[in-house]
Amino acid sequence: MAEELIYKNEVSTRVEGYWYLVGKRLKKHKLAIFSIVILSVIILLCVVGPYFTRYTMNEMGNAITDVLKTPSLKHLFGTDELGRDVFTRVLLGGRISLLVGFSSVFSALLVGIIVGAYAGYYGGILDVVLMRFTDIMFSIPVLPLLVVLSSVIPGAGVWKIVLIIALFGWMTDARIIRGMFLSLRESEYSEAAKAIGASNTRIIWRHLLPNTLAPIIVSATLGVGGNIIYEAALSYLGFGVMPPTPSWGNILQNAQYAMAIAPWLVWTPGLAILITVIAFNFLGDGLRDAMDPRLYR
Amino acid sequence: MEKNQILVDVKDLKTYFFTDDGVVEAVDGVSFTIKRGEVLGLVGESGCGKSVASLSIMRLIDKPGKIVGGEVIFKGEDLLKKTEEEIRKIRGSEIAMIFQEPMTSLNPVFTIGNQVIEAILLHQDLSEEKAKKRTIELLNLVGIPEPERRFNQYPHELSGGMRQRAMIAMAISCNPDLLISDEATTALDVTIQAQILELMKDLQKKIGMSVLFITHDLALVAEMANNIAVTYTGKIVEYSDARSVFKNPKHPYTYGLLRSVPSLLFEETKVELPAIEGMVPSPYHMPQGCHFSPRCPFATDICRREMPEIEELLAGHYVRCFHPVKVSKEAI
Amino acid sequence: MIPLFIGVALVTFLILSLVGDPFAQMLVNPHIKPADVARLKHQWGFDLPIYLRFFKWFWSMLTGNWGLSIFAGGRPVIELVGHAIGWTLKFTIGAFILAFVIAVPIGIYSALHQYTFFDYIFTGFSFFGMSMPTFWFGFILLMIFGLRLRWLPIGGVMTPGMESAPFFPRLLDQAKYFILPVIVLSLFEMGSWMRYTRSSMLEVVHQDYLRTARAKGLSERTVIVKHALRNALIPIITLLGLALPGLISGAMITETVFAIPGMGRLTLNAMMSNDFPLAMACLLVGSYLLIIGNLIADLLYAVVDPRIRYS
Repeated sequence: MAEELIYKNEVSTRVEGYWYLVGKRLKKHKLAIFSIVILSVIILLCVVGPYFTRYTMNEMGNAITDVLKTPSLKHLFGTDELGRDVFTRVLLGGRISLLVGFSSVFSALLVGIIVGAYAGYYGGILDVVLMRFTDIMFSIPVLPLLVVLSSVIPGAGVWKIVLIIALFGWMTDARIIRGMFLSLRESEYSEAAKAIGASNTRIIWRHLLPNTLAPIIVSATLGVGGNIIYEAALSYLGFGVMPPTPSWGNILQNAQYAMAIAPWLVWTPGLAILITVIAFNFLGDGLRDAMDPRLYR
Repeated sequence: MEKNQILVDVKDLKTYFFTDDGVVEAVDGVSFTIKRGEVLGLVGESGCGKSVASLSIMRLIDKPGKIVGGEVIFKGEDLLKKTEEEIRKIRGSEIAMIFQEPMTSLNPVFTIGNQVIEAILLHQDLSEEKAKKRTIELLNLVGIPEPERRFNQYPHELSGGMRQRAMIAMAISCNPDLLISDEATTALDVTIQAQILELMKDLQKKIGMSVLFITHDLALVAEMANNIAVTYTGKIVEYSDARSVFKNPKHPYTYGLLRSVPSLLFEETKVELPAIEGMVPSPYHMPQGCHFSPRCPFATDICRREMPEIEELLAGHYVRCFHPVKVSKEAI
Repeated sequence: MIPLFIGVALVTFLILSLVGDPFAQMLVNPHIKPADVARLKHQWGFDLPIYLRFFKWFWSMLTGNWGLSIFAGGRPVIELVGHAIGWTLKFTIGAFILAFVIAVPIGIYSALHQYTFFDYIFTGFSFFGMSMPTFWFGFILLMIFGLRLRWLPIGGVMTPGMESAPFFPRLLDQAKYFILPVIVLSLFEMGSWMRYTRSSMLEVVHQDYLRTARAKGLSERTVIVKHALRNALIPIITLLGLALPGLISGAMITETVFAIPGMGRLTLNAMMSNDFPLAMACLLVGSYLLIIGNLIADLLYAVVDPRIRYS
């Protein structure tokens, strides 16, 4: 009698989505979570805080009695050489610095994605030309060029700074994305998409790009930290955000002279930068670990 | 060096991995014997612990793994009780191992010759010149053409088959008593696979070494092995000489493996090709009782409650099952 | 390589030509005769259309005719740059060496002792180093070591009068001035290389060929030092080459904070005073240093990794 051999499987497997796994892993990374908290606090403070302080950014107290006061209950971070409340200025400076950080990264990302995706996907001459261009941009030292651009392009707005920083941030992203597209192009993903008749543009944006999301997110997070430092450096050198608009960098510019007698002018914006950037770096690092493709082991 | 002397006697080997998610009993009470000049085939699906067993013999288990019990008697001495220094002397010279992926198993920044010679210089008292000569001899022996030229080449300049041959040369360079081949042919093309197998059979006869041949592919083992041990989730479920295992499989798992490869069964079968349904259970969620019971067509209540012990069903034929398969013309 | 050189020059030129007419300022200066200005204009090709101007400029750059500086009272640009570059190179190389000597061994140690107390400390330190705004760090160090403790000078490169001193005392004197800027400049790279070395080493440590090496009976020490390290160093060498842009950018800030008369500060001054010839030269030199640095890194990479050699 022929036996029907049915080999059964009673062990069920639960299919977990990619982002769910990422989130789970991220939660294990205590530093990253801590950073998210810190960053939220900082952002909240900078955006909402100034509405709650008693001073405005330019309010100058009495020219003699209120100048360069050490931190006290009345002025949490003391006052600067013009009698302005440093705490308020730092918070407002934070608004600017964070704004510049985020928007420059976002713009750089946009350019980087477009350059990288099209270079990687189409290959050939487009790739060669774009990559040569990227190489050229990589070879020019950033800060000197930022300084040059800043003095050469007329205008003094914050958006000018965003623009020039973005102008030099897109290259790394472009390289990363191009690399990924080069390999994705050969993958079954794009074959399948082509087989159902998707156009090239559609393939690039809807199918392939989402796969490159992980390193983009990591690079963006780390990039915000880096760009905040660039902005601060530029402003410190006098080529960034112009006073009286405060930014963490230009508060430091004036601080150099008062260094000996008013150290809080140096410590407060500097620590603000340091803490914010460290937080972004920890977060970016945590994200990178959480999104490691070896997730699927 | 008598032919029938026992070379390796593994007794109740237990190697566990202590991970954050729980304890994985990768090797859970494995015992087998290899005599001099014999080939033992260790067969099982991926993840069943066969590689871990072989690494345990070589004491190459690293955190979070730990050998927690058993004995590995090699030439009369328990390897598990030796010091690190003593084991190092044995590795490469008395017991050698070749691995699955020749590309990643060879150091990309050193030449082939360099890597083979390293083993020789380490264990033998030869001058550099003599060692180089011996290396070239070995490369020749394993079938690498133009050995003098290849000596100075890097792994990425060789094809997969040649890399594996180089690995073999490295392994046999000091005339080991035991060669452990851990899925050495799995990553190769089928034709190359056949060539490497031929080479191994050849060398085994020439040098007279014993081989522990690990694979998931029963077909490969049919050619080479004197004895076969079938493993499942860290335990041996069937152990006998090759012919008995193929002609007279007693464990449902073995039977399932054989049935899924039509050419292997000695009896003609008119039934369609079944696959063993299901997958190997996750090491963190082992089923109660016999680990194979969820997938076993013969499973009854006792199978799901208790783990069977390994028993000698017929002379020299050991099975771990409450309902060993009766293979007869009617069953097929 | 050649297209890269030309491309960089082109981009630099185009950017700077956005300045408009750099000679307008000169005309206002009573010390400079209009005839000279006209001559300079001709020399710099301002009477030519832009593409021809580029070639004329590029050629004069190549032949060492870098023009006169507007800012420094008409001194030849090439002289100014030559002077400045010496200082910049000195302490940039110093920073490079310091970062390497500290970061790489620590990175290796961290990889081999993952998750231990020291590993966490070192990781924290590298994050700290990578997040620190250089100029602020320079301030802090100046405040502490220069003002409060008075151990080290506040800026400059030499105590006045030491130019003619014999070699060793002069070296020691310069060392005093260089300690702080070198530390400040190297901080970022130190942090970055520490992490990179650690992760490179970690990747190597899990490779199959180490298992093969152990199976051969090699001692753990040999496995790590001979087999692992060799492979781990390869990406690190590339990283070293890529550090150059950061160092050159960072030099600009450090030189400003510590008042070092190097290329960075020169560029800054050039920009602030609209000194067209000087600025162009500075930018170009900076870029070319970078390209050369990358070239050296590429060559080193080929030496160290046999897989690259044959492709």
